[in-house]
Amino acid sequence: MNGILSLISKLDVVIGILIKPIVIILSASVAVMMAYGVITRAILDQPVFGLEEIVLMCAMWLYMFGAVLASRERSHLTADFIQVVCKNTSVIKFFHLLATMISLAMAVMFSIWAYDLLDWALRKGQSTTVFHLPWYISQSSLFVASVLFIFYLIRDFFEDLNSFLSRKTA
Amino acid sequence: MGALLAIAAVVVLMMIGVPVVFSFAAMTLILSIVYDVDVSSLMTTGFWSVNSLILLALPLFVMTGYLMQAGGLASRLVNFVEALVGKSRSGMGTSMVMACGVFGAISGTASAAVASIGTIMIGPMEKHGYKREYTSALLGISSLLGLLIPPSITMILYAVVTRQSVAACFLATIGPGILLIFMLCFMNWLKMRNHPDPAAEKLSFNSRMQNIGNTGWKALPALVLPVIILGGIYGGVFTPTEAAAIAVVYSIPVGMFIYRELNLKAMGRCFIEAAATTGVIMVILVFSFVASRIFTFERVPQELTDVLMDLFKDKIMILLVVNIFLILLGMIMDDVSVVAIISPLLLPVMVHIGVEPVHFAAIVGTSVVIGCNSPPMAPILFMTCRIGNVGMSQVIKPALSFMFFAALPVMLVTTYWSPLALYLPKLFGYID
Amino acid sequence: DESYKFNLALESGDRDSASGKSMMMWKELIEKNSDGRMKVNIFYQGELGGQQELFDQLVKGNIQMMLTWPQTSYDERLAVNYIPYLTLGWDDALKAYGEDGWLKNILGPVYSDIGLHYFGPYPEGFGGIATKGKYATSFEAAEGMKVRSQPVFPLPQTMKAMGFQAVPIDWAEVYTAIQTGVVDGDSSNVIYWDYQYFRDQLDYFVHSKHNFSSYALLMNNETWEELDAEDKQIVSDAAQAVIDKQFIDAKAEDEKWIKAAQDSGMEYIVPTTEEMAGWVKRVRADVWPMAEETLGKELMDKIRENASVPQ
Ligand code: NA
Ligand code: NA
Repeated sequence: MNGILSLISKLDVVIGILIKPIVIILSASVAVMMAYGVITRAILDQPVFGLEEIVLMCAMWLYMFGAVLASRERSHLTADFIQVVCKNTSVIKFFHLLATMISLAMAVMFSIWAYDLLDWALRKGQSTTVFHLPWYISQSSLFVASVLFIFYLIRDFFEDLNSFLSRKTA
Repeated sequence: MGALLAIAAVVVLMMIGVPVVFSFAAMTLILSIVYDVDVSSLMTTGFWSVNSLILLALPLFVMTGYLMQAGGLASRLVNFVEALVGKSRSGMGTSMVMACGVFGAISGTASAAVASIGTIMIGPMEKHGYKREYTSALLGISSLLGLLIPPSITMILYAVVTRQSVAACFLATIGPGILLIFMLCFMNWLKMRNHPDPAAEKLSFNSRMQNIGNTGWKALPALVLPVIILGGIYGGVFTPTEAAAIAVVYSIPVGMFIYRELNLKAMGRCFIEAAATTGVIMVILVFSFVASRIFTFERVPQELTDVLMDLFKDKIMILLVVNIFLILLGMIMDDVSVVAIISPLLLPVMVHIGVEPVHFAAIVGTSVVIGCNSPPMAPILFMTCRIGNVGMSQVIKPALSFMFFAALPVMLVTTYWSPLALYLPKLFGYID
Repeated sequence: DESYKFNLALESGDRDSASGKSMMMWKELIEKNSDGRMKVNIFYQGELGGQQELFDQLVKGNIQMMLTWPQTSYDERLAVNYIPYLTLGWDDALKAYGEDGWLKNILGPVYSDIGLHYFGPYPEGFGGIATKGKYATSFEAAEGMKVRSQPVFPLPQTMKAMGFQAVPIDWAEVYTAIQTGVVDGDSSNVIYWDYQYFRDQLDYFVHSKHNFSSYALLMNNETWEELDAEDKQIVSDAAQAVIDKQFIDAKAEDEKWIKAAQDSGMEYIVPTTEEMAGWVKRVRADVWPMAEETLGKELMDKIRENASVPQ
């Protein structure tokens, strides 16, 4: 099990190195492009047509990578209810493990749904009005995110399993 | 029935600690089984709904919040408000409430206010004789002014899921926000007016004025921001999303070159934290839009309306039931879930009994103030406990008193006295 | 005989609009003539999301029937429906879009490639430009004015060729955008929509007639093919009855709303023949070559051959 976890943590380092700069660049681009759009329209009176097509494509990837970063840090919105009502660590650890298993199953479902969306997008090849950009550029982001969710939930599963199994010694 | 089952499942899953996003995925799965629909083919709903220029205001206003914190805008604002209000006895508490209000006029979330104002003020307030648990509880409620004073992420979400105007929803919560400021200041004054202040400092009138002038001058670049955001939106220069982008682009040079507290590394961190915060919300939204669409296909909102209309004939009764429902849901659900799933379900009922959608926006907004602080699902209270370094069990008593004597009355007044919410949207011509 | 439940969506139009009533007629005819075997559930504007989502849902079959402006995102050849200054008067337009009209015969096969069954057009009338504070009847006067445009090729390009700045805004946000001055008005809609939704904001309606607004009655092709011959007949006869009625009603309906708008204080402006010729010339010179790139020469030749000549 530790072998798997160390492999996962190596991959995680690579994912972090790849995603963080992309997220920073996407954030900055979205803000700057929107602001540029306002300036050209409101001040220069020369609106850039179709800018929002590019902005939205960036935004979708920004959202999905953002959600992946939250998975990476296990900071998805969660209620800490069990911890509030129950002081027995075994019970708490069991519910952590259970919650992770359910999450993993749901992430797999999400991945299937997102794959179907991507498959449809590739087959139908819809494109945007102004720049004729194919919509699968942004529709693929959901699938990529779902795969990375699965990756991090597998990590969480092994961590929680470890923690549950070793609860007596802890 | 299927809808109830699905919502019950979400609640159970959230309670056992499944993250909201996967609880929502499970809800979607259950709905697809109960109603025999294909989620794969409905993913397009999730995609197109999130692929929205209006929603783009969300990450941008979240970014602004983080940038204010990292760039020193927040601390300049707090200093100025403190100088204005004065540093003695009930003054510190009033300052905290007012600072949250001013901060709220720039930031769209509550969490940014908790983090920055909490970090700046909780320590000094302790020196002035405020108990940490009391301060943390006050901060928990006050920070929600970030959602009532525009810009507000909650109102953007509400506007998107119910197809209302963002600008109109922004205006609807200003009245309730100001009422909440007043209530909180009053409660704090009642509690703290006779409190001994070990660190009381008596300033002469002149030095106080000088202090106000000094801190005001330093806070000026930050104080310009609400003027740009709200003036821009209501002056017809730009949309809420564009305002958010301008706010981001403005606060970066202010933090970097005027306050000199923001560097590239800190800016990168702000972007990453904002992306994580909004990314989580967006994936939740993907599922909640799919679930909402299934509800619509199956005519669930109409059924709910019929049932409620059958049970309660009276408008006041229905509003009361909706209030209780919102508070109960707010206890067990987070604000995003309440807004994204419950608002579109209840809106037809509201319209049926003659409540304006924009008025309902304010009702939902004021219920979220309570919901974010009421356990078990109390994300803001959890956060204030962490920042204030106090235990949940200590904070819960003062928090409950603020909820019961300040937030709840605000919600009731907002619900039953519609001008509080509707005066401004009417004044600006958003509704007749 | 099989029982069916269909979801029928309107891209725009509520219960009380002309299109809303037409869809009610389609529904009632189908339900009556099938003795209730086929049930139709109508969803009015906004109930099921925006334009692109609705069109996707139709193609995927979650919505089985729809009245919509064709979305060019799947197949740009549908832009034929929006070629500006294609027909200049009601007679021409009705001839082109009518039963066995040349335009209808182009559109049918394109829809079929996307996976949709096309019953026919639902004409509304000629679009115009509705604005607040100022108006334009020429390229020069239009410069600097911002109008909302539907994001379908080549409508934004057409606005640009006419001198306006086209701003794509979702229908749900148009009111606020006009109110806050993000745009000066709306474009390419028949007067009904501008009167019904924005009359307290808008002062002028310039009937530029650059587009003939025509919706399409569509059904998901898989759903269509599942029906037996008798049921197909019921659905398509009902559709045809709706279409026939609209061809008779459309012009009168449009005139009714022009009158209503005038009564409410909106100024209704018809450009002079000279002004009109100026716009027609610019638009055909700028936009038609663009359209040729997407539609191909063959199709465009057919369009040129049939296009009306301005008088
Ligand atoms: Na705010
Ligand atoms: Na709660």
